[in-house]
Amino acid sequence: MEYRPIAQQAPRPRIIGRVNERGLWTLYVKEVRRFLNVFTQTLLAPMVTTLLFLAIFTLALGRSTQMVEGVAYAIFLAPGLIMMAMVQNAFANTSSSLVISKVQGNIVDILMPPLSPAEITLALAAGGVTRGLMVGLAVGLAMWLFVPIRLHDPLMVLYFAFNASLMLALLGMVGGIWAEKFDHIAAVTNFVITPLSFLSGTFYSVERLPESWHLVAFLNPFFYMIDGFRYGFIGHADGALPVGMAVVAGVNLALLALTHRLFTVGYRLKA
Amino acid sequence: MALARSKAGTPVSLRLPIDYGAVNWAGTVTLGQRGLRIFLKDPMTHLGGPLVSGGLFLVVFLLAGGGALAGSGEESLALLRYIGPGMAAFMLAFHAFEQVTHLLIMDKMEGVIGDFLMAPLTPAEILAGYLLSGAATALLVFAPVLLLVLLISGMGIQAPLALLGFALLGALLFAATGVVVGLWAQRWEHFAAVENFFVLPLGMLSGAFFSLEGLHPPLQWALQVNPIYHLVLGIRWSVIGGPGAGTGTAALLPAALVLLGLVLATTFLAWRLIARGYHIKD
Repeated sequence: MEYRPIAQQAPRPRIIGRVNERGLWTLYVKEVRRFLNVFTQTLLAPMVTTLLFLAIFTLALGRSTQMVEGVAYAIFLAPGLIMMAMVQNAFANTSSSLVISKVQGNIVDILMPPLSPAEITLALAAGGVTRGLMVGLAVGLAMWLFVPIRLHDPLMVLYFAFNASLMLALLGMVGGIWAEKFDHIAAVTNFVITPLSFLSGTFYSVERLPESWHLVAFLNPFFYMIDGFRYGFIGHADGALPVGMAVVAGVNLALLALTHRLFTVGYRLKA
Repeated sequence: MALARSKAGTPVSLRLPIDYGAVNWAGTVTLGQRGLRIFLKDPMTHLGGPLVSGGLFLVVFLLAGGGALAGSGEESLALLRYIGPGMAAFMLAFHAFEQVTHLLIMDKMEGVIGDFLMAPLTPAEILAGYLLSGAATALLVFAPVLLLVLLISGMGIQAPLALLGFALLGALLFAATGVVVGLWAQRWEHFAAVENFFVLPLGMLSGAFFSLEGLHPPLQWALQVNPIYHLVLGIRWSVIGGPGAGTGTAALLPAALVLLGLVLATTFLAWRLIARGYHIKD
């Protein structure tokens, strides 16, 4: 019989430098594949739902040749609807991932590997952003078949699309970390995310609102996201664009810090 | 009382089998109550959710329509009065379907359906249990949403009995559809697909949110094939039309008949499917 020294056979632990690139990439790919696996629910269904919204709002409200902010109602509405789809899907991606992992007990598969809290935060957030942007693209293309939307400023579109998806992905992570049952996250979705995405100027110009409500609108980060994104299409914004860009970036930085802190401390993850 | 004893001398419980006659009322009511209690156990999600989304729709239509129509608050109020009942009807149908399908798929996945098949319940009684709970929970969603609509748009119900009739027909129809789809679905994706690609489009393009009048005739015809269209028609008339309104009554009888016919057909189908154990006694 042949004996080989064990030292030559034993696998060596992989040396991970400052950043575990392979782990980061793997977690990110897992998050993306998770939603691509059920793309009928995660990509096609938002397309159908958003087109339906477009249909009912245009048919109910936009039949008279009504100009809002210098464009036809359908052209005003379309970017708002795309943003709403992106926002709801980015939130759903990260929140459902975390809550399902916690309920099924899989969360340990994220916490045990040699991934730093920063890497976990980044990978999960990137997964949410990817879903948000893919949904935005799919919905945008579907809308373009029916509404003659034109790009006034593609860079602004990209900037606000990315930041909006990131903001909601991070909010989804915070919500997913906090929630202990599906009911909790359903409550957050129903009572926070949906109202915010409906009432932040998606369907109407905030100029419609009485003066006293304008302040509320200007304190709402969702408003800036929708406003800036819509500016990229129609070239008109209700608020000031630089303020909007700064607000969304600032909120995202704060949320990144918060999420990173939550993963470091292991709040409701490492009880 | 003295215990009955077997031949060996051990006590034997003297429980006579219950003879419940033709229909197992207790069993059916228990099954119906079960679905209702599941709904009532979490009112925030089951009631609060629909109320919030209904309220949001109304507010958005009020705010978006308020300027889009070249009129004052008058016209946006008229819009709300038109859309409100339609939206409530859509939510009735949607939630009846969703509750029943969700419950049935959950029961199948958890194996609870076996408990119902083993119990002394005929297929018709099992069906009745699901229909009862589905219709009851749908009406529990419909009533507050409609109340919210009435409060926001400041109106009352013109024909309460007709409203009740149409609401019941709608709830039963979609509960029965929910049973059929719930039996057919074998994964959650099936449920999501039916909900997203059939029920939602049917509901939103049913004339609940917009009038069919300005559309091309072929489109109008296509939309009239939709059962939710007839439900919306009936409920809207019951709320804002009433016996005083001359318009719209001509379409009511066909609407009611269509709904009734569909209820009977779908209930029959659901009954036969349960009896054959389609996807439950594989």
